[in-house]
Amino acid sequence: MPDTAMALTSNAGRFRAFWRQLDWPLRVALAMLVIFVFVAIFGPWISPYDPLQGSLRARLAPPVWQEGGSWAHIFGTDRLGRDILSRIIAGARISLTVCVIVIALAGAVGTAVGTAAGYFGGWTDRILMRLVDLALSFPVILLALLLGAISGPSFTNIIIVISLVLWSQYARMARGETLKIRNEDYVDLARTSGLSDFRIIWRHILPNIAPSLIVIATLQVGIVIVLEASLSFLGVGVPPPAPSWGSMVADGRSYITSAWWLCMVPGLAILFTVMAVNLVGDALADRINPALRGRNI
Amino acid sequence: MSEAILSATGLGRVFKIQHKGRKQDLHAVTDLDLELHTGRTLGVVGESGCGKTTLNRILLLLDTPTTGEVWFKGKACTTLSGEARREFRRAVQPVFQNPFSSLDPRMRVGKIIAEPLSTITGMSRSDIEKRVGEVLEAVGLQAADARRFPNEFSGGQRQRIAIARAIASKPEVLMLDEPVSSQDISIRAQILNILKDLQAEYGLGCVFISHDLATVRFMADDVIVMYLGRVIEKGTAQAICSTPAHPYTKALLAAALPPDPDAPRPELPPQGEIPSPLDPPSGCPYHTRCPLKFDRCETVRPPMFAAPHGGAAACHLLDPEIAQ
Ligand SMILES: Nc1ncnc2c1ncn2[C@@H]1O[C@H](COP(=O)(O)OP(=O)(O)OP(=O)(O)O)[C@@H](O)[C@H]1O
Ligand SMILES: [Mg+2]
Repeated sequence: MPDTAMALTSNAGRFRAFWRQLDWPLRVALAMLVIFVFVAIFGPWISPYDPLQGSLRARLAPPVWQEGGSWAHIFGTDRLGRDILSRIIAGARISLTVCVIVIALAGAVGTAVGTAAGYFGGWTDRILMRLVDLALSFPVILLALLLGAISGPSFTNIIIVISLVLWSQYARMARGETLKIRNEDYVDLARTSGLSDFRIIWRHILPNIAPSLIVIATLQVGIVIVLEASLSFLGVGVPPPAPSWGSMVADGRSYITSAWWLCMVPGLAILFTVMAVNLVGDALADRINPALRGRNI
Repeated sequence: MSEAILSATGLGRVFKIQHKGRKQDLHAVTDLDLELHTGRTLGVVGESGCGKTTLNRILLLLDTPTTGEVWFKGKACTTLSGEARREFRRAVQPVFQNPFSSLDPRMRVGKIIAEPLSTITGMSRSDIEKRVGEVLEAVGLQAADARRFPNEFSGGQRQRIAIARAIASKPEVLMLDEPVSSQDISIRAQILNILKDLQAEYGLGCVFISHDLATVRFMADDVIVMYLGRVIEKGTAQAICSTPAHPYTKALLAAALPPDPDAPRPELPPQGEIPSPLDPPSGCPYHTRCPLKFDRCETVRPPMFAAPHGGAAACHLLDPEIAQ
């Protein structure tokens, strides 16, 4: 019992020490990030209304600080009378889901390709890196529009398209970092201990390049959110009526003069979330690998 | 003498490199033979860049020779597969020069040492743990150090961890590539003594690579001297370090040892720079620097002639016909 208590106080103490050395923008960013993740996870339980059901009587209600606004709908309602706060909350969940899936997918593929290229070198390297160049020169928006035109907006499409844009970052980073350590003696020693190439990559290369890859993943969160919003704005992203922040902005376009908050509120949600994510990502990059700081992927 | 445990015949390694915009052949090791017998230490000496590390990597099957073959217990290593290859990996273990590069910074010492055990031997977890403790103590560290990370140790301690790892699988051959060159003088003797004790205790065969004839004399029973990728003299350590026959070895010895009234006088300083392995000289590889060279040295490569000390050396001066 006293042991657990000790551990708790020392954890709390460590957290306080950690908190104290952060500057205030970082504290705000971190707090916002925590709120974002919390809202995304627990959205259905804290949401005041159903984000998909509106009441036509409450159409286009202004936010609380506007004339005619009320606390019933803090951020107002849209053209179908759906509560905007509830839709923002549901949108957070969509953004986070897309982030997690895309980063896992792009990260896994990119890391596999990059470590293989760096580790084996030679022809493997040349072929795989051509693939990466190809991915970088790919007209992604065009592909997205094409896919959208063929099969309509779909969650799968958006995941594929964004992953196609982002996997090459991992591949390049993984290759570079692998090149740095593949000539370390411990890799040769693993060979003289009978480890197969696959196990050498798994046990020695990956753990040593992981920090840089984690930094990339953090720096990419903002990009994924923006890309998802952009594609949804263009109508080829998350299919309606799911309230992606991007499609909310698109929905509000036609009311920009009369009900500007329809665009403004989801727009600010994107802005603040991405800023918070980037601040935290940069701070993390600073700690793990300063060379990556401010890199605009 | 019994059959060699590890030997090489006609080894050659040519690196294709890009030099001054042209593809060129770099002859790192050329036509090299050696034999290592159980319980003996074979010293390999030579200047920087003469191909010692390349040789070591080939003998460890980390690199494939362009020509020639490595033999393990009478079997050609290119034909080793499956079980036989595992046996080779268990029996032949290296210690490299730089202890900061040989330990994975993200692994605990215990796991580092256990790596060859868990992959090559079928030992159980508890046996492995016991063995890790044993070898740590054998190199003068503590069993509890297994739980620590490499960055908590000094260079000398790290090298001892590397040695502990090398002996963990109870190998029969240790391949030591300049194991003390990166250490402080004070640590060197300590590490060399640990190696010597282990070698005596387990009857290991060792290949001891060094550019320093003095440490080789301390460690080795037999010595081969390399120059530009070739063996130019071989013999017992005693012979090579007191009465060398090749002018190059004489120069090496003179450079390595403090003036000693009993040692041969350093009357033969090498001249000029070491030639590039991109363009090895014709004839005797040493003729460009040899103060004793004569016509034939430039055109005919000397074979290994029997030397007075009982070994052999590749120098025309030892040719019985010329001596007459
Ligand atoms: N992978 C490689 N590719 C191209 N050239 C190489 C390679 N490895 C070694 N060499 C060249 O082969 C020659 C011998 O190198 P090696 O490392 O075997 O020498 P060494 O005797 O170990 O030298 P040192 O005492 O400096 O360690 C050098 O000229 C080196 O540049
Ligand atoms: Mg070397």
